Amino acid sequence: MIQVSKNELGATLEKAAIGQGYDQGTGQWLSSVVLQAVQVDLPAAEWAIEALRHKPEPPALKNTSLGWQCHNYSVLVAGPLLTDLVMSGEPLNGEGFVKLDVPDLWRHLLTTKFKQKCGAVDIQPATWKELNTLAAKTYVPATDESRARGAG
Amino acid sequence: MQASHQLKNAAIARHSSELMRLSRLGSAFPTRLSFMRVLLRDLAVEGVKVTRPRWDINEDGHGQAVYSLTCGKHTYSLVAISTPLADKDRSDRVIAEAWDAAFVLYDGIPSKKEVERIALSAPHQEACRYSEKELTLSRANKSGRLFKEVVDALSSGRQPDAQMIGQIGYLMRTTAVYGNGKFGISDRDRFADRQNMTKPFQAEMLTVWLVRAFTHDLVEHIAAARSTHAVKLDRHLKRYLGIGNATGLGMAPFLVSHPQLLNAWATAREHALVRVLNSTRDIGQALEEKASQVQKHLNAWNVDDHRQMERIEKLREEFSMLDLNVQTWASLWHQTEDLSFECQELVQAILIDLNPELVDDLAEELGSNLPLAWHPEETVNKLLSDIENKYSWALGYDFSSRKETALFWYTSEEKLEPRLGRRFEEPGAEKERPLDIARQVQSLYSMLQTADPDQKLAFFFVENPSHRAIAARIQTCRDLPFAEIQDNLIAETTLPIDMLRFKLAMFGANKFDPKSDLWTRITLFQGAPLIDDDDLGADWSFAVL
Repeated sequence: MIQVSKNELGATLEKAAIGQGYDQGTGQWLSSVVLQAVQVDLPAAEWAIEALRHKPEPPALKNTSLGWQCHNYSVLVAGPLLTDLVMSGEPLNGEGFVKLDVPDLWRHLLTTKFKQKCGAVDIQPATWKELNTLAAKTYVPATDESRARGAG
Repeated sequence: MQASHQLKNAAIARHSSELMRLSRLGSAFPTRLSFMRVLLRDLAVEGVKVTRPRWDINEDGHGQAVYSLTCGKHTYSLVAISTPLADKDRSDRVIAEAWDAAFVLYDGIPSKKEVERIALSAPHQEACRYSEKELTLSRANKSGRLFKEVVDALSSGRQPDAQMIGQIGYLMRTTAVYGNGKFGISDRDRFADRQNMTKPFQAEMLTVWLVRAFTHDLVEHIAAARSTHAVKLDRHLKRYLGIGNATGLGMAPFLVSHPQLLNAWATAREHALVRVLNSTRDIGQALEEKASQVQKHLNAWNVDDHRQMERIEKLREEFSMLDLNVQTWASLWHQTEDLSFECQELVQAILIDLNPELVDDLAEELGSNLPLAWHPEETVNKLLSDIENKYSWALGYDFSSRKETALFWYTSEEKLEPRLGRRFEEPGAEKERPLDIARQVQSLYSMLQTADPDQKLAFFFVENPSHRAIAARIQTCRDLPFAEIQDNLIAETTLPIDMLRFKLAMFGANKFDPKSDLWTRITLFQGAPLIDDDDLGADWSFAVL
């Protein structure tokens, strides 16, 4: 295991999500959910990379298959849009949605602000490497011109 | 400054549309609310004493040193690792592989074993991983010319050339001071609730202040090793020697990605200004004495950059024309209404600096723990209303024009830091970072106008997920008047140097010396108290030699 700081993990996750083809909002969401989960020692980084490996295609965004099943935390890793719907308080059986019965416990988890835990996060080296590889997809190589301008 | 005549009971002197423009932010000066000044005042209140428990430096100035101080229940130590560096390898750019010295701010007093661990990693900077015991990571290069002059002079038993010290102003310059979790060092969260660390960037500023002390000790040590006739550096000259810094694009997006902090900083400055303008406190001789010092400071501020030098010359002239024989602080302020932004911001800094008892408590408001807001239960209509009320500044740009979209921000593969590209000339725009706030707001606004006004945002963003992030930003910033830079940051005319200057002024830097539109040299802690001065809280603004 290697230790990474929470700030470093969050920034890398956000970039990794974008590198995997998600929009910025999803990247922010994934980052925030993972950082929240690590506060209570959930293996968040591991299921975050699992989530990124199984990026759902756009049609799946409208139903409950949006969530990635991993360990017992399927709601926490449900996509941000589904999370929004749960938090909106609206019944989720309207047009375009598969009927979703959200257990109270899950709803509670989604809306709970966990007590802040200080300290670095232990992460498998292979997972960290994979996240950084995804994040690297968002980087732009320098050109001779940009280097010359001091912007390389 | 239309509003400044009606300040009674007002919380701010200027509207955000006036204050939060790049051109004004790019004219900012440091004040008593700048982080370096706040740090030293807080250390003074604590009665902090700096010790040097380790000094294993050889006659060439290479080796290891440790400086320690205790604040409240915690001790912090600067670990300095000085290594040989060929002149050809000395670079101002953040992109380099070797430096004259590397530093970490260590949480506690490091054991010999810990110093050895740091000595193996810190000289390699980004290429290594660090632990939670390291609060910051930094490096610095000698100012070749001045470092040599000072060592030569001291070892010859004389003081160095004061004119050269005045021109250069530092013995070493840093090219990066990393904090908040970079490369495995400690997250700021881990120590942000400690005494003296609650305000922003205090660990980074403490690092630089101690690095400055190391540079002073280093020249005296090398000189003493060379000659038994060596003398100590005159304390007045020593105090004038700060730490140089070269700062570029990597720092610029911070103000955009931390809107809550930007709001806190600008609000504190405005509140300070309003308090002073509403004050009837006697001006006495303080203004004239400070003005005389400021004029000398401005006369010593000379740069190669043509644009900035013109601004400085105009500032000197405008400042010299001000009538200092005024009865109220507001009378001085009103004289600047038709003058340059540089002059307005300078006078604001002077007003704040001369009224410590009115403004110092505002330093407590420089931080922000406000989280990103998100209310998916709100309606399309509410978000439309938020944009019209708070983001109208973003709706006027014509983003079909190449001039308004000429630039794009990206992350450099080479340095993993933000950079600025030319959209129509360089590759990479498909990986653009979302600093185009005005364009995103406009795009969202257009989409919202075609939606059902009563639809909840949760449902709207199922169909339009790519705009969810900017919506959350709008909800976060709608009650924060100074959270946004009210300019199009991808326009052809954007000058990143303006963003740098505001942030650096908040740090407390002075002698801004732009080297292009993209980066600047500055001096940190110039004129500041030395680590063994009796009064660390003494005023050191607008240092003069």
